[in-house]
Amino acid sequence: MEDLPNDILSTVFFKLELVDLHSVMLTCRRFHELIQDPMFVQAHNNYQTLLPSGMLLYTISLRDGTQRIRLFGDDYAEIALKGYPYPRVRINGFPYMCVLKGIVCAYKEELWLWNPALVTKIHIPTDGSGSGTTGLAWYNGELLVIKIAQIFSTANNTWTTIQNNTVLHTTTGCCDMIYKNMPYFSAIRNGKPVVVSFLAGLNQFRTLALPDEVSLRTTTRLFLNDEGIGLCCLVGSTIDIWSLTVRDKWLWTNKIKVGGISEIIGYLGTGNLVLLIDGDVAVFDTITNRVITRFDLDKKEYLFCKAFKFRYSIVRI
Amino acid sequence: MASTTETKQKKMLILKSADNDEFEIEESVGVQSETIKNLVEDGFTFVPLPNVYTKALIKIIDYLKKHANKTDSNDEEIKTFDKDFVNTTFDDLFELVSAANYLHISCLMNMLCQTIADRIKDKSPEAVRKIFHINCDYTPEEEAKIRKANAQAFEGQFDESLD
Repeated sequence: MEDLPNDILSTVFFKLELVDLHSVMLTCRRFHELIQDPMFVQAHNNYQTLLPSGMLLYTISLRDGTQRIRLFGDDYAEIALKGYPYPRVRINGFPYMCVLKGIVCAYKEELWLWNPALVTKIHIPTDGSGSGTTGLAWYNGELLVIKIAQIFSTANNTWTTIQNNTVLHTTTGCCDMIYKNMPYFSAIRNGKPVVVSFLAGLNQFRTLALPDEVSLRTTTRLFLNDEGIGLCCLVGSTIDIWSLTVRDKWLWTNKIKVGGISEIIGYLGTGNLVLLIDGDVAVFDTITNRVITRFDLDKKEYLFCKAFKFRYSIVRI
Repeated sequence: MASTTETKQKKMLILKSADNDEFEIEESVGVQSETIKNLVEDGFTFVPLPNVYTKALIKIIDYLKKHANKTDSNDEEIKTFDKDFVNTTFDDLFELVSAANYLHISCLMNMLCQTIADRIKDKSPEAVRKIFHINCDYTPEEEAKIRKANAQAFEGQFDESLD
């Protein structure tokens, strides 16, 4: 077989994630040079950023109890999703859902991983055992599904029980955010609200205490801010924003007053919170203190609702 | 083979492969390839393809015929066809991707590159070498150095904030 020309190789390689380019670089000098080439780096970046992004909205309908996932682009227009894998059945109790690297994981009666960009999905067998909370982690080029006492490896297709695990009760039923490829949950421990992160390399959970001012009665919602980990807490119609310093201390940074807020349902990055205002899903800019957009959606669809920042990705599952 | 009456109704093209085999196809099928389209616009009806071998050309003509008849109703059928089309050896895929690149058929090119990328993803460097029929030209020291540099880069993504 004749060698493939560089332009074809580049087209193939820029469809790979950075992590996957690692082993390609190790094959030979020619491939290494190709991937390190500034033109290639540019093309790779462009390809990755051309993928659509926006807000993923997960809802449980008040009308019939079914779960639904919708995607709204950066212009807040709805983008049709393909290959929806979740069964349309009535959901009882908390559903679990999170997203990482463009992969959606939702769990109630059945656990599915779904990449709407590639229209691929895999069903993950569960033994139905008690611990329900699901988060996703990315470690060593592999996607992991995290439950409070178990981890599912998508590479080996097996569940592993986490040893030395402290029993936790999560408050939101699923991980609140994923930061540096690790899931963060809000949880209750010894009767106090805490933040729990999962360290994939060590297969351990790490607990972080919350600021003293945050009591059990406060609605809390973790989010990622540009500097690191942030926390926003809703009391009445006021949102307090805290950020975590390197020494694991919480620093109060901002207070926002908006009328009619009933819930914080998500964080979209660059200071944009997703809130329920007068029952409407709305995006709120905490920097300018303004509502950016309100979605005109059927309120009967929102018994439960969560929003996630989402970007289409070419990660295979 | 099309009859003379059909030839009158539909404009036909003759494609000639690198192994000198000739194939007659409808113009509307052929012009999905930018390369063929340019030649047709210049008035050619006989198209020599010195870079495309018969084996790849047969498959590509199949692909073009299928995709020329794309309607809303046969969406699923085309998806199944595409899936079968790429379900082949790496060597065949490389042959096809070279041909698709030469013929400038962007949707086919995209599908083939995606397939190759998906299939080399998660492969070890040694496996990637075998797939592309290349030899490792690094010294062991160089290889260890690249390995180390990358390991640090990737660890950085995970660790920093977590002790």
